[in-house]
Amino acid sequence: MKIQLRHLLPALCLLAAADARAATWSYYLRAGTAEIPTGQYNGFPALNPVPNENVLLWGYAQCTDATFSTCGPVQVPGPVLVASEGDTLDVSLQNGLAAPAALPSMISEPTSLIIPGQPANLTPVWVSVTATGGVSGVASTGQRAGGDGASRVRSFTAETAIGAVTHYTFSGLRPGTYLYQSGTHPAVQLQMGLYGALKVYPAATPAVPGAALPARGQAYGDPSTAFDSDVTLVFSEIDPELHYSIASGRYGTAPPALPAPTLPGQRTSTVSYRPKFFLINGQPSPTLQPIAKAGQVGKTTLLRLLNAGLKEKTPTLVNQYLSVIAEDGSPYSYVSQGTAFPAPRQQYGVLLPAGKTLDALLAPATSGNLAVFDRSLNLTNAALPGGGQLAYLAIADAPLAPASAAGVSVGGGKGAFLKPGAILPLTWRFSRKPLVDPGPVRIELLRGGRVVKTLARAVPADRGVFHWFVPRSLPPASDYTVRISGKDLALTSGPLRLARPAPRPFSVPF
Amino acid sequence: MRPKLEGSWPAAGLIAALMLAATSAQATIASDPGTLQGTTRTFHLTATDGRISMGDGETAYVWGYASQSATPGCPTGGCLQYPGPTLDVVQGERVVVTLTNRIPTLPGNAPANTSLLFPGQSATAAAGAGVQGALAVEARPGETVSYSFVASQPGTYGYYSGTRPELQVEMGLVGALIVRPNTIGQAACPTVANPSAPANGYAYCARNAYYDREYLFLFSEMDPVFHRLVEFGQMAQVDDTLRHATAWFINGRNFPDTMAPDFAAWLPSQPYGAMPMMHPLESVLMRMVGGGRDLHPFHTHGQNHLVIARDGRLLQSSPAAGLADLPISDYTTTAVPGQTVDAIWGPWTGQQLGWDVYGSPGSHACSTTCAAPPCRLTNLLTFLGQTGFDPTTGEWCADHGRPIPVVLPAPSKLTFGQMYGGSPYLGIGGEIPPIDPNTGSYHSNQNPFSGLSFMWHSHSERELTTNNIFIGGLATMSLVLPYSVPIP
Amino acid sequence: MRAIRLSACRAVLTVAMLSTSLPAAAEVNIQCPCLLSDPVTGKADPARLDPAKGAHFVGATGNIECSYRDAGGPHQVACKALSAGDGHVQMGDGSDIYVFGFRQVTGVPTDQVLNMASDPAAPGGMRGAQTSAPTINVQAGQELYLSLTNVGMVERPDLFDPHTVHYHGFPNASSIFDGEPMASIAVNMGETLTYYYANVEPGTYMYHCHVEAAEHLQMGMLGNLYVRPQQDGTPQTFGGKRYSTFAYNDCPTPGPMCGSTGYDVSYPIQITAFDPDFHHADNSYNDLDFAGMTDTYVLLNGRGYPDTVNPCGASAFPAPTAGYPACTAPILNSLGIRSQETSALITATRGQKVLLRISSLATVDFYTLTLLGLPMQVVGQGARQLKGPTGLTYYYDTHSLTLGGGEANDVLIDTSNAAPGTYFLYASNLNYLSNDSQDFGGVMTEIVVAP
Repeated sequence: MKIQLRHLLPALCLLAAADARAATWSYYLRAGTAEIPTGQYNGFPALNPVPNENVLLWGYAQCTDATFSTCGPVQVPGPVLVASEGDTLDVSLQNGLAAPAALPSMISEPTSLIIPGQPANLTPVWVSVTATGGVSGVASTGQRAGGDGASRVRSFTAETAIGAVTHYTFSGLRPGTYLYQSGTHPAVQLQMGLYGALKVYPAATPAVPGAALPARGQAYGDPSTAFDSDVTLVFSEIDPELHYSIASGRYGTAPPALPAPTLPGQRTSTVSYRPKFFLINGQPSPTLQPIAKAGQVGKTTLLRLLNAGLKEKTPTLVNQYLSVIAEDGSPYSYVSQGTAFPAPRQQYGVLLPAGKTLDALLAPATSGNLAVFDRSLNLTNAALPGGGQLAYLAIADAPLAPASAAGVSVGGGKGAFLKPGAILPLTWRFSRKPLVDPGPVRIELLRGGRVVKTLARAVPADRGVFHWFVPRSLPPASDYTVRISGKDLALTSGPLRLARPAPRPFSVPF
Repeated sequence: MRPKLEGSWPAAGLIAALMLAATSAQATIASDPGTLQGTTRTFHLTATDGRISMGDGETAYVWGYASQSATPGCPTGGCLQYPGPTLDVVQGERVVVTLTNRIPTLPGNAPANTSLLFPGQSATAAAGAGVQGALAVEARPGETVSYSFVASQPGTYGYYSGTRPELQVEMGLVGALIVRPNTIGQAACPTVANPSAPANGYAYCARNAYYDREYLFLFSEMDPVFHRLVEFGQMAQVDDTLRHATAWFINGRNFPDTMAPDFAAWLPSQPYGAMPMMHPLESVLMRMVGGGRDLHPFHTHGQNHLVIARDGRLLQSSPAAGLADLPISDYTTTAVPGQTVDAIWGPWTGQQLGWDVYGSPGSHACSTTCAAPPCRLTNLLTFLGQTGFDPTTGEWCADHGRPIPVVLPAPSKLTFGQMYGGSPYLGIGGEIPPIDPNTGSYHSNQNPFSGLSFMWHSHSERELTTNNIFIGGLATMSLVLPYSVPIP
Repeated sequence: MRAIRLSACRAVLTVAMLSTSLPAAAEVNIQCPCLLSDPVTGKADPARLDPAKGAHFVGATGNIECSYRDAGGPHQVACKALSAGDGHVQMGDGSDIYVFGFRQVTGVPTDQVLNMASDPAAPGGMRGAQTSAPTINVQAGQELYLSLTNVGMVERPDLFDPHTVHYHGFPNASSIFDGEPMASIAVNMGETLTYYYANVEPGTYMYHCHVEAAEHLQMGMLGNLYVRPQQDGTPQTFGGKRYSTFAYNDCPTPGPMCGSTGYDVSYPIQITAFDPDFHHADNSYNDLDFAGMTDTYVLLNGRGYPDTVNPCGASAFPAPTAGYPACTAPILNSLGIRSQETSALITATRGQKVLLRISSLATVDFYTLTLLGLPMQVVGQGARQLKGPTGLTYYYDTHSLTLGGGEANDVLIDTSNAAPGTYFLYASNLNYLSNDSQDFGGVMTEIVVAP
């Protein structure tokens, strides 16, 4: 139960940080633009500043290498980044926020990348501003010029100009769940969509660059934080007004004096904020479709909850408790006699303020769709009910029985022998419903572990039986097995033996 | 000159509260016990519509729950109330709640299904009725759905509509659920002991979950525009993103109605009061429920409160601890939507004020020993592990006889509040000018027994208004009364 | 704001008050055991400190402090005098805003307190409201004599509002000194009420006027208040470092957590917020829109960014060291006086531990403060160490804190592993990085870690 107490044992931290085996996780992100029709969210564009306008988003696209020539789509939230404790995260960020051809007036800005909660060497950029807050020029970088009390910080760290690429490096990573985000003009750039989740595995269950992620692990370096699967839920909002303001190039333009009409998007700050869309992982959740597979009854799911919006949320479960183990990447603990112990918090709902991350363990009690919803009741999109920050997690039933009770039985209990020319029923059953619908299953005959024959390609999994006509030509062997496989499903029978046949002309049952 | 509540609350309010207290055996929260058969406790709730009184003198159209149970305010049962009836059950009982949807479909509105969520419980809906909604099985208009769960853990919980909750909770479909522990005094809970009978209890099996008095604080807020839209058949016009609350409630009432007694006749749809009264050294259990959807910083003047549980779970290192050993002491606790908090306020001891708050020097005696046993506080002081107090009056004797260190200005230089007891001292009235020197009107003394009064309120001070009228909203006055004034 | 009821005789009085602003019998009467009495009036004279009690003015706290012994035992006393009235402050975008507020008048002669704050020869408290209000800084064990003189609203002569001080969080309070006007007393215009507080529990509190709370808090009558522990001055070693100042009495008995709330430098940071329309309405005799209250100037210690990082202020600023900015241009309001005297700039030398006493007195919204680049360790909340009845401590690390009005936390920032440079404390409710319609402002301040 003991977890390491950083304050009492700083030496251990230093050792960990100095670990020479630290790997580097390289990501190539391009900050770019995308437009989504509001109809995609709700079919209700009337609340847009200009009806039927698309909503302009700024987001991150993940690219394959330093050439930035092969990139995925711009997405909001950005791709989930993964790394391991003590390792180095190296994000190459290309600023693709130039005005696209379709939006020639769009405001372009430098950008940067920060991760609150991770160690950082900041190189801030201060700018001089006009009376309305418009930028009139860079005043200083690195530190505020002596005697300058008027400049404002535009970027918390080094800026990337339009078209340029900058490496943002974070070494000695702390484990946990974090929001990476723009560190430049955050009041605008986060609203526009420049954020995403970072999960850092602890040294106890490290992830390795280029390899598959650990199937299960610990959220932090303590057994009390162990999980079997994890789900990342990023809460966010969209106020289309600012998006239109940026897209139209009118941001920074003060509304004219009356009686001249104010044009949509004319504003000089973001102070007025009234979001219309309330999203989880960028989804409006208008249907009963689960947003993610989230584990099984009897197992432990780690919920990584992140709020990239500007307003407080209250993710809440129906009929279930969460064990909240950490906030902002720091596990909750208490200290007794100088030793720290985990202090998880048992709650069915959690306050998730702006910019906060929380890690919570969930032990699903029942299978099916488990609802997570915002008890602050942001359950609409553009005023239409039945959506908003409500998501379903698909919970599978209890894990399948272990492999020794493989679930495949051959014949009526005498299936340990194969009889050429006979019809042999192969039966399988699920002690409980599987995690996901395995779809049509494939049935194969193996010998010595290698497939020698496909017996059937698409048998409905829930039929539970396949009648196999054992070919007369099948050579004798004692190491046959039958494998039944589908999506997330692979059942193998025990060994089957085919003895040299003794001709029995009338032995065919029918 | 500006919107302001003139005349304040009816003078009858507090007096009525005290009189009711003097004649009632009810020492705990006004609640609905349902009907118990074997170990199954059943409640029959109907979702319907009605009106409530607002602190600004207006009324508002609401949806709410009506229980079949009879109450002092509703002898026949079936009266709509806001918030819904406080379901009062005992740990281990099987709880069955039937919900009948009688929300009327007003001309112009679409029919509304409704349902119940019981966060923190494992509630299931009985098969055969209703339709599956986004969060729960829903009752269509006229239909009845029944939900059941086993109240396995003690604590304070809430319940509310799981159907379009951003509208239905706003409309008033929310209530509290109390699960009382069944282990106190049993082998399952060896760590606590009752110090003195009868008005005390434990919220949980935990030494510091002890209380002498308990009060419910269900917080909510309201945008009256939405209520009017629904009332006038324009439910489709409700745009949730334009919501702007202008009224704030404790137990469904705006200040000063929060100070009126339970089942006050003039608040037929808002039966639950929220005026805590206690004697020195008595612990007050605050059962706080975030019934609305906004955050409210609830501040207790007078003393910190100790948060011992959240969402019905003790703040403790392990159940073996026997107490909430990871509690939070604070003077302001955030009410989080949907979340519940149990906190022990005080006890207020008047300790270490540096002057004698029980009266001027020579006016009274203080002795830390019990001159003529039995003394009423001997057991309580032993339980609290406190010494240095007078076991009859509760006075902390170390400050006894110390005069108040400053000279108070003459009455003409001061403005007196209606809950001011008339002197700096507990239980001692004094010079309150009959004519308020500032307003020229009669001073209205609402504190005839000269208790020490402390406001408990939302510290988002805007919420001390009701529809633009100051003072109102999410506030109440607590009252520490001398032992000479009984509070049953 | 008190509505005026115009009976015939009241009308006469009203006219009289409009012309003089104050009742004829106005009497400033400071009560403080550290002061000698004026031989003529018999009232305590703020200019005559009692040498027998070692009375002296303490620059770091703005208090007059002394000690003495009487029949009741030894006394450690701190005295502070505040005026309550109106005035003006400057927002981060340079705009002027009308406020109500307190002003420090400790040591100001009683016949001078009712002068204008802008009086060049003998400044008093009138029209001198400060936001944040003067910080109240005392040590547990000290008795605080806090004298409040209601100097009236110079720009609203139609108003007769009484004022109070509510010592927010004071434990086991009495009603008489609670300041909540319904349960208590409030001081009328031209008069002085001296509050008495025996400070027992160390921690971070706050104070404000509680009269017409929705209005007077929105209008700016609020400030920092904290109580240092008795343990200060008794060194404790924790994590290999020796501390002599602490957030709490963390060492009642020797143990591994002794010194765990130790710090080298401390700063109070208070979140407040103004709705300029509300302030304008109050200044222009208009009805107040409580329901529509919308804060668009969100402030730290009464200042919007970049004024937050202006090092000028009355409260103690660490002795200037290389790398720290110096005070060169104090913030002057439209009346030409200094009314925002609590800087929100945070400075430390690498290796130092910083205590932030973070509180909020915002009247509408909750705010979340994020610290970028440095870890925060929360050791206290609600003026209590995060420590349970059996001695378990449950400090927690985080990089953001959410506070509603009336809430406070004690936060330690260890700069041992921090690279020298500038770090940022700002609202993650990012729309409040604005001074109303001006971008790049609002709830933001800087933490300068010098080498």
